[in-house]
Amino acid sequence: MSGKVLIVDDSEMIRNFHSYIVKSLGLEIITAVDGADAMEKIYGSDDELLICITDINMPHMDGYTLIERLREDEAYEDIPIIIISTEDEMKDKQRGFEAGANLYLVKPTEPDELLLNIRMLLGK
Amino acid sequence: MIFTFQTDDLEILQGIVEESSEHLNGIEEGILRLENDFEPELLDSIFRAMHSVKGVASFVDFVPIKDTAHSLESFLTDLKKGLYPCSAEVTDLLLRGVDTLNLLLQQLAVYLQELELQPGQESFEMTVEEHSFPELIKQVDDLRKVLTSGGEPAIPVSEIAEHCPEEATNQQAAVEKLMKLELSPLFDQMLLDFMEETSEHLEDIEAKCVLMEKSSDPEVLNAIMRGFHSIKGGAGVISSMHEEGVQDALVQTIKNLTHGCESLLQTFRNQAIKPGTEVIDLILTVVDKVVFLTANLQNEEAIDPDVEYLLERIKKMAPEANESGIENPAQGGSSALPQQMAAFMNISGQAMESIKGLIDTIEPDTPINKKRIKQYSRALKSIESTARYLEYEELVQEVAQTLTYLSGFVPGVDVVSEDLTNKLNKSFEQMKHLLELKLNHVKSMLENVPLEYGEKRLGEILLEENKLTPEQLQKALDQQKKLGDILLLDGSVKAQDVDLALAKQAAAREKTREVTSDGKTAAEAAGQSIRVSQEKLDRLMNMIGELIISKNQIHHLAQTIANEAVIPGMAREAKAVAGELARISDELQDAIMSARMVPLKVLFQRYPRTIRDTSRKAGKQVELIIEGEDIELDKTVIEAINDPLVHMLRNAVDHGLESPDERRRLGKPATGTVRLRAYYQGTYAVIEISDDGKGLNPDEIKFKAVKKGLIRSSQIEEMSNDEALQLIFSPGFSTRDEVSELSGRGVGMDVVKTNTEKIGGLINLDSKVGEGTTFSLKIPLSMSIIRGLMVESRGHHFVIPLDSIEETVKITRTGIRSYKQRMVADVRGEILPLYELGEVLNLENEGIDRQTADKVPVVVINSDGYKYGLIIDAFQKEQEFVVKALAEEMATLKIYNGASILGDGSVVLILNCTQLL
Repeated sequence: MSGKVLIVDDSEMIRNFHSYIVKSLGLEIITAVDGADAMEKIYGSDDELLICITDINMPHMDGYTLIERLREDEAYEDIPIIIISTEDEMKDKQRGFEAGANLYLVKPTEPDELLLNIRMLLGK
Repeated sequence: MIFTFQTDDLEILQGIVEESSEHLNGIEEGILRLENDFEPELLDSIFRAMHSVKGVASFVDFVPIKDTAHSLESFLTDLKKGLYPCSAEVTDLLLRGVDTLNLLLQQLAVYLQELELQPGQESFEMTVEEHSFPELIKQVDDLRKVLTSGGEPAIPVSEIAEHCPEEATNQQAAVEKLMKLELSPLFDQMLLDFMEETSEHLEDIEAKCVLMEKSSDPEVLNAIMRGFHSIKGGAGVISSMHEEGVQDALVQTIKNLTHGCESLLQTFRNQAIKPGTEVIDLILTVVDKVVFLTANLQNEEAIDPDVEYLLERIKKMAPEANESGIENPAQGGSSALPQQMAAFMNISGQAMESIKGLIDTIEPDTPINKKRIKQYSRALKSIESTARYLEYEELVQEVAQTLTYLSGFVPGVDVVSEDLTNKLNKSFEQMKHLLELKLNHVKSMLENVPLEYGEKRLGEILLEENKLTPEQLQKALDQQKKLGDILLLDGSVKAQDVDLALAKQAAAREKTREVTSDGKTAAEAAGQSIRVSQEKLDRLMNMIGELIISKNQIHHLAQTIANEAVIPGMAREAKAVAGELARISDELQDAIMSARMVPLKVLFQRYPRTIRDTSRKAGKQVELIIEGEDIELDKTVIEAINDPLVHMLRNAVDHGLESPDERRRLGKPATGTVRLRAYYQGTYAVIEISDDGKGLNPDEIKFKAVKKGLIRSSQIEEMSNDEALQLIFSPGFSTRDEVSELSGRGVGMDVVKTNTEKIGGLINLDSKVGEGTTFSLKIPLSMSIIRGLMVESRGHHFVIPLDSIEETVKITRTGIRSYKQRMVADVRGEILPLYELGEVLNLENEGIDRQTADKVPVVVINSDGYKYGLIIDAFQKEQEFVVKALAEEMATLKIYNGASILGDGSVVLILNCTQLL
């Protein structure tokens, strides 16, 4: 598999953890510490994103806003977006879907589960 | 065979060499223990270590190590399965395998060292002898074949790949689907990150709490909640990793406490109430507790978190605290489903929820927001791609139809359409139906699974369900990879089938549920340490040597100032500075010396193997007892004493111990004991090698010595038994007529003795006929810096190491007698032979007229138990001397240990008193 993955989380540990897992698929990683940082990083380069994995609860710009912004852009209209959050309530999930997420996972995610979910959302 | 490595990988390769060597040491030790004491847990740990060796080699695709380790791993798997016992034959081969791996690592290390010396190359090539490792792999395969009687020989992994390269790449993805991701390498760093991040969050929370008391800015409350939230999330990830050694209870407690605080604050935020002092107090108490728990995460000892009362207080503080998030139910409640199925159900289930949520908002005759249509098609796409991944064709078709229909609506326009609403509803129902069908199908298969599947292997299940032929199974088994992976690789079965069969196996096991003890090995005691290259330590050591020379110079200077002080008070000040400098350099010296110290364990752990090999070849039964492997010695010393120790251990088994029959005849236990013991004695470490064998016979030794022409027969009479024993250290002496294969390798005890003395050590021997022999090596703890006494003789200065000095005395000239043309004197009731240092060293007599003084200074030397007095002209000072090795021609002079540079820059020679006479 080739392509870039955007990983957004305000915890360095989680960023590293998710990066490590995703790297095993042979994908390149872009990390950002919050929504605002993610927007800056994406629009600072011509990189095409394959998939985005984001936290919700972050300073400056939260995950919902980030997803909504991404979906407004034609380039990111259809990429799979996975939310990985500690919240586990239906209303949070619904809000995620409304914002434009494809999948809502609850922390902590098992590495194999995350890998499988990414593969499935990419259909390969 | 030539392998090419990239220079970029240099560090990784070095890491591999170091890590693998450590593993191999452990493996060797384990295998030896296994032979006597077959513990499944031990086997597991050997297996794991071997697996790691293979793993790191695969990382850079170093085939020789990868394949060898793989072959040995399969061998170990057989043992784990109990296919055959761990016989001496098996152990032999396993050990030979470890040797092969060690050899390969050593070769690699040599290449790496060379590479480090010539930077700038982009890649380097390594040649591995054609037959080195394939031969071993073949031996392993052959033995396994013999032991399991029949069955095809296993094929090394690399060969398979060569045989069918196309298939390999084609099916690679399928295999990856089932591979488990190895997390342990990441874990330590994650734990440290977690601890660090948690501390940062806690500090921030603390500061914000204080702020919250005064300010009513809602953002402060939000920030505190975010802090707790992050800690909670991190703790969740850490505890989900199930690593050994982590105090899981502590992490859980941290998670519960932070979750409690977050929920508590949430109620205040929801009701727009500012938390009062009481709440803030409680939060701060929790913060303190979490600080404490976090700090203890790396401790070995378990501590009692004891937080029930805190959790109670948190609950009481907010009676309406939101409970919903505390324990999230397993997603979709489908824990028994195969992993892939569970993921599929989760993704499609969420997509359906998303669709349901938006269908509910659609009202007749109002336009459907374009965003809603997009949300719908997005959800459909999630389902489509997962269905495609799992090859659920009918579902893919169904979704594709709806998607095509939806694309007919131009994006960007809000739509009013009855047709669309109906279609959306219908499609939703249809999809729901298909998904339920799929789920129920899998569920029913799992429910009706025969109970005996729990005891069956994956292959048996697949056979029974006709998904696989026996031939395919056998071929796969021979390759000894994970069965599922291999079957996928050669295309025998579909990924879904393997996944499902595995789940069935698990489901049946769950149903029968046998309580088995989980073989959790004790967490490895991880001392905090970093690797430092020997070269850096040596450089540091050298610099400290220089520093001590400077220190002595300053001291010298201070002395001169004191003698010729022109400015009052300056002498005292100079002395004070010199004293302070001396203290610091002493401490620095101690610290760096201890950094160079290595426990004897690194040597001793090799010896069970040495003893085992020797005893097997010599046909003797030996038990090796090791004591004091924690004793630490300078690394250079450790390296220097290995050969002597190995030689003496071999001697003990080969020459010392009797054969089992003879021992029985003598009334001794058939199994002989060789004891290797180390302990501290003053500034020395003593290593004893003793056996309970036949002992050395002095008469026999004397006789042999005469025969070899080492002594004259006339000397036999006057030679004491102890002196006779010392003869075995003479060059060319061997107590056996024929040199045996084992201990007689051209090195005798004379080499052992010179090697020991080279590092400033002493060797002693004690033996009783019929009871055994004990050799003891006395080794200085450090070699580079010694305390010594400077003396003067005939105008020259020399240093005598304090270790050799028994005492210093002044005796009256009249007290010196002459006996057989030798000088002797009575020192404290003991008659000592006296030698004049200047005479011994053949110095020209240019000194003062010694005849005038009526008292003569004498240094009493104790060399190896032999005492004598050295007459000198004057005692000078006692201080520390940095030993510098002598240059080549000088180094042949055994009477000097080395040289040292004095405070005034002059050079002085250090005497080696054992060689002086």
